[in-house]
Amino acid sequence: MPALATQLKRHGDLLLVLVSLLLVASGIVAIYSASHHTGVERLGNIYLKQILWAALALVLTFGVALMPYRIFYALAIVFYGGMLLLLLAVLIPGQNSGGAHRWFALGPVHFQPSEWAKIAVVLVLARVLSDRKRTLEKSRAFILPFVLVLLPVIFILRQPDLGTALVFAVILFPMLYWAGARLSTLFFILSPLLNLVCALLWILSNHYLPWGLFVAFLIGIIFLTRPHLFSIVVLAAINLGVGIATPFFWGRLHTYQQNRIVAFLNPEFDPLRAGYQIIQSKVAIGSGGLFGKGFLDGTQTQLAFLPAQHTDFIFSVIGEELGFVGVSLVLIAFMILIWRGLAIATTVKSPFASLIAVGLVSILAFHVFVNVGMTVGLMPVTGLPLPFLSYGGSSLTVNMILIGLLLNLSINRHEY
Amino acid sequence: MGILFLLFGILFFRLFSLQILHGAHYIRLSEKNRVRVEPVEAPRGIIMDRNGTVLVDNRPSYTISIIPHQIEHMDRTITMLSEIIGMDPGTIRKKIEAQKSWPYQPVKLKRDVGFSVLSKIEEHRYELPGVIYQIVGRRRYPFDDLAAHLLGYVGEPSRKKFTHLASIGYLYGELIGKQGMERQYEAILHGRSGMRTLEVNAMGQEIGPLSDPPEKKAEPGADLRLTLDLSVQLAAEQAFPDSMSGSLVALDPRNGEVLAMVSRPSFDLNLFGGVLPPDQWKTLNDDPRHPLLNRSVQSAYPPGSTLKMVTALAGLATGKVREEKGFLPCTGSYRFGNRVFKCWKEEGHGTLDLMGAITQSCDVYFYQLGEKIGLITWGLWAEKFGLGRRTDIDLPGEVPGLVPSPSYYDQRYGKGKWSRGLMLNLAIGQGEVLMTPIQMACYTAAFANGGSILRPHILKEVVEDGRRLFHPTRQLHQIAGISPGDMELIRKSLFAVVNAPHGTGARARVPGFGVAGKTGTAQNPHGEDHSWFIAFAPFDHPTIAIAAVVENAGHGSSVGSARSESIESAPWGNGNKKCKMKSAKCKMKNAPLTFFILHFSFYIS
Repeated sequence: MPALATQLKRHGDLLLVLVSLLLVASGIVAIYSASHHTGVERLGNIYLKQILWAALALVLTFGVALMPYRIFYALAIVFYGGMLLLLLAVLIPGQNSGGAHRWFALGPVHFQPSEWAKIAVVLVLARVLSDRKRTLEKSRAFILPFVLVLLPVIFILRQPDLGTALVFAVILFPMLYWAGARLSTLFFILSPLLNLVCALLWILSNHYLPWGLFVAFLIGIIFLTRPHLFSIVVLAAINLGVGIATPFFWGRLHTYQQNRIVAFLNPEFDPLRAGYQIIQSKVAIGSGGLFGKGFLDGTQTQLAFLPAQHTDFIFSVIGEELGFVGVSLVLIAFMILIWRGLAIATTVKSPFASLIAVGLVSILAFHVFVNVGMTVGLMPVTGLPLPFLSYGGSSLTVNMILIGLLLNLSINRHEY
Repeated sequence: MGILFLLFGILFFRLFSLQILHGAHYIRLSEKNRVRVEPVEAPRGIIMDRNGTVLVDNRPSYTISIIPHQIEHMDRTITMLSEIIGMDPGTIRKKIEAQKSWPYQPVKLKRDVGFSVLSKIEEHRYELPGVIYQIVGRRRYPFDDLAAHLLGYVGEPSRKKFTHLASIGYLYGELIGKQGMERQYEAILHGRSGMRTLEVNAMGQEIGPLSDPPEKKAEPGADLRLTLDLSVQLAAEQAFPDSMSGSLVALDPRNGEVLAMVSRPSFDLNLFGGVLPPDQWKTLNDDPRHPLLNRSVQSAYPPGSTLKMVTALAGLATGKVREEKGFLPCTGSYRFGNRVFKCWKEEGHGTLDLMGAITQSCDVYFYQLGEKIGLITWGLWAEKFGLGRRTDIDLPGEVPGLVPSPSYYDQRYGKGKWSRGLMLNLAIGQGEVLMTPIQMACYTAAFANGGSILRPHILKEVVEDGRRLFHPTRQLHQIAGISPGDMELIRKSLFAVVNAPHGTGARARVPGFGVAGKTGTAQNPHGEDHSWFIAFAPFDHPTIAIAAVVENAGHGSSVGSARSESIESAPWGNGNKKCKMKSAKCKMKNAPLTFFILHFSFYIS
């Protein structure tokens, strides 16, 4: 134990652990508020459960932090393969939750493989990209990383869980960039997806400006970077194809997914159904004002107008009861985590470790933006939890392991 | 890094915008969420008889309602609810749709649900957010169908009517009086609804009252004390079986107070306690016997021989009776021009004076008297007794009846195309002349009180917090042009009808209780004749005047004037002696009158 302490003190980035624990603590306080009222669902003392999970997660954090660094490189592929099998398995028998097959029930504990798969994908991508760093100039080099991401994405989309599937796409691009891919290349790869989002906006709400900007931007980048004629033709063909296929793709979405997207674009359209959650969340946060209505005094929270308040909308509880001051502190804490994560990415010697750090920071940042964006009505309702704060064992454990990994990298920053 | 800071910047700006710039707006929205303004129904006033026995009061009833803006999954909620309350999902949807403009007010789905439904709702409370139940007052009728037409019932106002009611403070879903007293005195009975503000959670569950804005108390409706006498009414109800159609009205001839009012066939008021299901309403409304019709004021019949006193008084006042020496004796018929008018007694009455003609109801005497009086003078006298004019009794839908005039006949048959022989029929109460039972009761009362026409009324007083607020005026006025001697002659004749050996109303005789009266048979071109009987008692100081009509009671020939006066008695034969009400409630408070009515029904049978 003294050895552990000295090791941590000398090398580790303890600020990471401190800030994440502060977030977990404020999450538990908010969960207490969201479950203490006698209102609707009888949640019981779920904040106690969360404390137990936090304790377990803290042990895992230090466990991961103190593992031999090489083991991640060695086990990346095995870990990834195992996760793929679990993702496949979860589709088969399935415990039901809102029409989705997402987890295994192990006694009282729900094990959600897609949470763990995020870390597995970061590890395997880091290994692959650090192996082939110099070959990213060629387009063939992109095939393997894409396949590695696509496989879990396909399985998770089958669950179906659009939000989590998007996380994997978001892991890939910063890691590719960090591995040396050119921004213009990444933009070209992303262009069909951007095209799709802009086209949807046009179809559903008559906002044609984003699509116009996208086309102008695409032509501009092509003009500036002057790729091969062949690439231009392929790009043009794909983008045209997406434009035509978008209405078809829209029809293939599940109704509840369609509703979520429509509700996001226009929450007042049908306040009694899909838009209800977003409106109630905005009302909760907005009515909090500068200092909030006070702990346990938020009417939206205590009278259960705020939906899923202990999970997806935990941020809105803080917004209502502790106001702008409360949510600002939470966001600053997340900024510190991201800042420390990126600092580790730039200080570690090994490209493998650096890529891991970038991947992990991407996961964290994406979750924060999507979840907070959702609570303030800037993003659709995706069901992504807020790291460290939302109630749920799988999410908390995986996020603390993520901190443990970053800590491990910072301890072993001199290794290659 | 740059992108990350930009994104965080966006989040900060958004939070700043929501919480600081638009905070006040969202505080308002969150208040709107948790505050429910709930109407507090004012208890409807109760209705009592003249002695304070309760005829209509209220009982609590549970209404299942839904608050549309609190429903998250409309389809699922409707499916569950339709199963629990046994209502078609389409109907639920329609009700919610109808109240779309008030999404924060509860939509009443089903009234007066049983306790099992209530406990099922409570069981599924967590799956049914926005579904609530409210306690509302429902009418209770301790005597079931007693005086059903007079008391009336309540129901939901039509959509058009509600627009008007809303402007005078009515709330959606409140019931209003539809018939009888309930409708006539709606403004008094209804009271004024209050408001209270409650804190509610997302499920629509009440957390507690809020003090801002302050509660507006409901003002209960005032109570009505009627002139109706329960014991007289009970006796009248028993005397008149529901298998027959017709009406009976009993008045106090001294002041016009209605003591009893029966219309047959009747209906069970408890069906109307809250809101009647459409199919039951249709059954009642489409019934060929028209049970919802208040025949006492809404039906007019030819009065038959009961009207002969109008002809008699007109004859006395104009001096035509003095020419009776020149009248032909009754041989069973009378020739007028080339038409023959028959008397009800085929073998004839021989020579009679006026008193004899009334007592034996001789038609030939009155043909001749009517002929001498003439249509215009006769019409004047009929109107003096209130015929052809509403009595202005405090009941909705009264019809005026009819006194035919020359211009009426001109219009009906063409100018000059009608015979003066029509007058002969009018003189004995047949033909076009029509009277409602309430008019007939007032007419009878005029002989009881010595020649005053009064305005009948049912409301005795309004009682609010034990104080008498309103006392209807008793309007009586003496009919002009009747000499006391003439009136006395007619009254004595009416006494003889019941008490003389040849009187047609001998069966109404009550020993020791001076009954005077008159029978009548109204020719009905659509079927069997209608039977009338009017009476007042006691003869010296009358305290009750009654008029009764039984539809299609006559049998035998319906052609001409061949009638059998004895048939009139038949309807009263099977007096329904079984008291449906609890015996304690049958207490006879007005013993002499009750005795009279009961005897009246037994004796003429």
